[in-house]
Amino acid sequence: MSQTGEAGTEAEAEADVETDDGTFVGTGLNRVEDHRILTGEAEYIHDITPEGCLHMALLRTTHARADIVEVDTSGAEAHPECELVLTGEDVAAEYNPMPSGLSGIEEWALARDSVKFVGEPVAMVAAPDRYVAEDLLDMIDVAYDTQDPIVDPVDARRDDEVVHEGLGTNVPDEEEFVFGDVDAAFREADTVVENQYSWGRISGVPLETAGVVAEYDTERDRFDIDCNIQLHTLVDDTVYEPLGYDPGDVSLSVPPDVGGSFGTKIAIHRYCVLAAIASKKLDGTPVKFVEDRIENLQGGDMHSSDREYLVRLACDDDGTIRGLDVNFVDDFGAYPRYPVNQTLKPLAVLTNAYDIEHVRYNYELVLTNKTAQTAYRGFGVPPHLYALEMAIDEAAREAGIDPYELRQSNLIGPDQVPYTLPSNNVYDSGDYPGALAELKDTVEREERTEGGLLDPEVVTQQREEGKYRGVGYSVHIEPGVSGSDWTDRQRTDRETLAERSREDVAELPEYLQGSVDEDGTVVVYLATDTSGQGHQTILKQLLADELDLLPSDIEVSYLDSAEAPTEYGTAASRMAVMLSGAAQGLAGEFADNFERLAAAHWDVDRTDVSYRDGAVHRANSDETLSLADLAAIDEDYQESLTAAEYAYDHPASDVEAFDEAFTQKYPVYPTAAFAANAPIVEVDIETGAVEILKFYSLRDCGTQLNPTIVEGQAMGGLAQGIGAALLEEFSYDDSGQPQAITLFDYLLPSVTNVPEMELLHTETPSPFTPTGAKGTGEGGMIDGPASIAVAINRALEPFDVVVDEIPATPHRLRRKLRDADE
Amino acid sequence: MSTDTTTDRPTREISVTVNGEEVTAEVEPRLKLSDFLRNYVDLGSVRVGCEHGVCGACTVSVDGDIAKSCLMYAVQLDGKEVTTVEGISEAGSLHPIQEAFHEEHALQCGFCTSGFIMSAREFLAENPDPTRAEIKAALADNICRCTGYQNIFDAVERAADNMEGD
Amino acid sequence: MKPAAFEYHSPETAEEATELLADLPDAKLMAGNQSFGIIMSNRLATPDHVIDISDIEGLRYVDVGDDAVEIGAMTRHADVEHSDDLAEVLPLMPEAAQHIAGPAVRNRGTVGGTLGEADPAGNHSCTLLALDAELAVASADGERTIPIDEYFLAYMLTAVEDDELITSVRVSREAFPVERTGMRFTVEKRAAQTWPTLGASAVVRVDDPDADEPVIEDARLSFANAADVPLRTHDAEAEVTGEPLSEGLLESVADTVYDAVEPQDEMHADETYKRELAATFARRSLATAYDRAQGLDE
Repeated sequence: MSQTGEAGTEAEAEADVETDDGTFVGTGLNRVEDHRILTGEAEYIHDITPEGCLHMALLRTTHARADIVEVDTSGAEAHPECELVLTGEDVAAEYNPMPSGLSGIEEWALARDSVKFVGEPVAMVAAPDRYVAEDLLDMIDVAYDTQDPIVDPVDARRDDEVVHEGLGTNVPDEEEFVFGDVDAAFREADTVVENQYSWGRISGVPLETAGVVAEYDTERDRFDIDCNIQLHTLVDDTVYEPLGYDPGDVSLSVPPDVGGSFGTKIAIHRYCVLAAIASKKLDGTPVKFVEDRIENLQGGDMHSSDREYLVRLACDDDGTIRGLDVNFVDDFGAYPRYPVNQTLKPLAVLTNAYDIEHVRYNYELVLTNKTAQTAYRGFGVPPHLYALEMAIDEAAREAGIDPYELRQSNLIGPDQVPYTLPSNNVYDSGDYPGALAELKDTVEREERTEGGLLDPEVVTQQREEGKYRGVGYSVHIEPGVSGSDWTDRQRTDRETLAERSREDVAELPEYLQGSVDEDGTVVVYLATDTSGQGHQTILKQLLADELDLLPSDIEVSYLDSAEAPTEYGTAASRMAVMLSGAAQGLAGEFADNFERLAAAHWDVDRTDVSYRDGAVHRANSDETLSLADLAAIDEDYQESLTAAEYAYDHPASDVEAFDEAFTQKYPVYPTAAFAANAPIVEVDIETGAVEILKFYSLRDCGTQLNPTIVEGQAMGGLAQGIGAALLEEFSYDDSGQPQAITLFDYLLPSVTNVPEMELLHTETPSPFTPTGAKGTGEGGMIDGPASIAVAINRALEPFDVVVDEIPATPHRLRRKLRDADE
Repeated sequence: MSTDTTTDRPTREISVTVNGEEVTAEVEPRLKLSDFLRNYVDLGSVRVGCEHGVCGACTVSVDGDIAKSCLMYAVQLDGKEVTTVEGISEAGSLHPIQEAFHEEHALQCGFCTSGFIMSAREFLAENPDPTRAEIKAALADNICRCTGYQNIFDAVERAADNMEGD
Repeated sequence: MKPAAFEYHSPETAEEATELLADLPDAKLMAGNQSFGIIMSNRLATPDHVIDISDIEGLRYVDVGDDAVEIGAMTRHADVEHSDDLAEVLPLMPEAAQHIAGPAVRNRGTVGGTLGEADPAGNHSCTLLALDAELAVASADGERTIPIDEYFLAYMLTAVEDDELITSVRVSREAFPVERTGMRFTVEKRAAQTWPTLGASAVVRVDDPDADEPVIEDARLSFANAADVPLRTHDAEAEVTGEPLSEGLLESVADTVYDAVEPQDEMHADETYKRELAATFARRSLATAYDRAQGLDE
């Protein structure tokens, strides 16, 4: 089992301060994780180096598309410190391909006959240190027969040439959804606006790269793999299947501290598999791999959504939106990995916060010679909201209506929630028009007054200098707490869904287990992994309330993939809600067990004992049994009653409103956190540079378990939204060469790019979840990009510019302004 | 990290004062300072995020000036002094900057945190009463992917207040 | 991202360094290593010998004399940034130094290193070009000077020979009397950590700073990342010389600059955009420099 990583008594003591209501949930409890990180004691995967460990390095191709003619490893093998060299053929001879997100495509941990993207690994080496390992890579010669790469996803659809010969097409998956009478809506509307929008290839790029230390146990024929994979208890199949072992024989263990993931590290299985194979080949010598930054940016299997949109909006002259028609091409690179359903998740927020009945949604998943996609915060939703909001802005201009008014008049009203979308997901609660109005009032009051950023005098003065200010108001839904059943829709025969019954729906739970130490400490084990979200802190808060304990009475640790059942884990803004349910359930099990144990001990009826205030009390007596007492007593019993486990299913499972979505495998996201945003931007029209002067955001994620952590998630998400909107992009040139392989070119938001943020919070509890909490781990990244683009549109309204390409880089805005000038 | 090499690559003996303690080691000239501190001296606070001088996670203090340890070689440190996060406070206690980072929730995943602390430490030593703009400029060598920076700026402000008179 | 093996040398004087350069085959000089270290990590550079000159104390100084300013090659960006003397007589240099990455990089990176690397986007290369600096270089065979306008030959290729070491740069103060000279460095950097998309240095000397419309006696205008070398635009300079600066003149200089620069396409800055940026920055830098020459500031 992993260690807790906990340290520091100061953190413990301060953790024991309740809210005025006497609860720990709802306090901005400082995190118990901090102390070990601040002092450098935290052990991330990069810090784990067992004695005698060898280091792995990967030879990666520099060609986007080529056949491998020959791999000559003799030079490396002749080196005195070379411990191992493996090629694709070596792997294929004994192991299995890696799982694919779609059928009919085979991907190997090392390329076999051909390479399909720059950065694809062709060979691996192991040596006593990474420096020598890289020396060895220089001694391997690969002969290639190169071909023209397939780079443009729109052209790739013609299948003139295909990425995968056996597949015969570059469009292995597509689907059209029609809800309502879309044709009629468009036919009858006063106006139809139609435009194309482009969302550049971006990703999470956590500060810590992927890492793995694999050790093969020669006696037991099994693997222990330490790594920073995300969802280790869910995606362990991506490791044990290629290895050809049973789940119980491949244990994935994730350190308590992971240096960020944002979805990207779900897909680091290639490294885990190769390090494991190497360790087995080396008779159990541990093998370590740390991805370097160039590997990570260029071919680390971690790019995300890369979309070209065509959006049509049917609108009446009075501003009523009648219909929406969304079409997009998503460039998945060379291999469609597990997150193929990033194309589907937008169905969970199909019309954002607008009440639109008639909607068409059509996607094409396209393969090209680029790095494969992984997940990134928001999982395909941010581009959808961006494209939709741009269309709304164009419609407002076309109709001559203030975009605030047009948005306001089409929002779903508070009397309409719970609101069922045409695509069958349900928004749980919220007053979207109210939130937008409140935010606008605040901004107008604070800023459109003397001395404010939008002081009319200042705005005019700045314009004379060529600096155009604008504020855009928009409201966005963050779908939270994904179900799991729908996620294999693309690997399901969709024809059969019509006859599917509700009983066939199988969800994945969130699992907790716990026990009581002899000193009475409750030790709880998470089955998920954590990459900065503060789960140890939040679980302590939840359980302290449920068990009438102090947070310092509870210790939180982690299970590895072999110990834990298959369950879901940290993704899709799930944990606030899932841990709420799991903690309640586990506490219930604990209390029940404690009472049974006490009753047996006192030899009284169950009804004569009750658990409260951290002890079991005996009726009509002063006798109590503390948790330490119970732990001592428990040793005499065969079945441990101071241990408990609980698997919390899913909040939507018992809500009838979701039945249609469940059975039809439409994305089920039972919480709708929301944000009304108003970034204030200034565009230098001569340079095209955008400065965000301040970012106002009114956010509501239901009950806030820990307001400090909620705000941290919001601000961090918004910063990533700023990166997506203005800075970040993995471009490729015509020869398939990636253009951003260092952090000089892939621009993460720096201190100069992120403005002061004014966050307002409201709390509209979810009726569907145990604590009223809603998922909110992805919010800012989901709503940030679209709202920044809305603000830029407002600033550049005099030039009739609409941001039709993300990131809205200075040269792209200049191109549009230049055209507008002429 | 293997220290006994069977090939004839050059090595050098170096003597470095690390967090007040003298460390002597035989190293290859190509060994980066970041790898030396992590693998030879076992200083886990030195995080390696990019190895090309952008992210700042490996920032340490060399003879009193901050530097990115991925862009120095251990051989360059012969006879010099290095300070890392492990050396800025007594065991078991927190430096006012660390304290402020905790209070302001200025870290999430924490991978960048050591670098920010080292940058802030040098900055506050020279600018005990900084403006917000000066704080931002002082942290321009460090990237945080989680927090959106505002809490980090707040933490450095708080630390400056708490350190007043030190 | 680990470098290939190399032998390390740390001479204590410039003379020792030049002797090593003369004696060692396949040797490279290492200054602050803030750029060289990256290409070493990528193995785009794999020299057998690395000569570390960063700690040669005799090469780290800022000497502001009555006639000239001399800066040792191993002077750090931070030294330039914080030099009160430079701020007084050549304020362009500290202003440009501030825009180089962040404090940690500026603590290590050097003026000589920037010049030696000769990246067309280097801030010091741009400012020193505008200031008409002269480079002092040394080899085992002796010393020589190279005027900066003969120094940058082609993309990252310079007039310094493989066995030579830049020891200092010297700027004559004659052309820049403090009381009637204004300077301005303008740059676009999309994020703190990256290179400039484009930078512009302007230096303006006026006849009479107290006049209503002082006439420009001398003007310098140079650009970072606007061509394959740091670029000075003599035609544009000539255009503003002998006139008071007016809006009309600025517009016309901007047009000249637009045509004079020879930028390359980059991922997020195509050629046309960079021409526009150069024109805009020429205008802005000149206008501010002109104001500063009159003792006015923004």
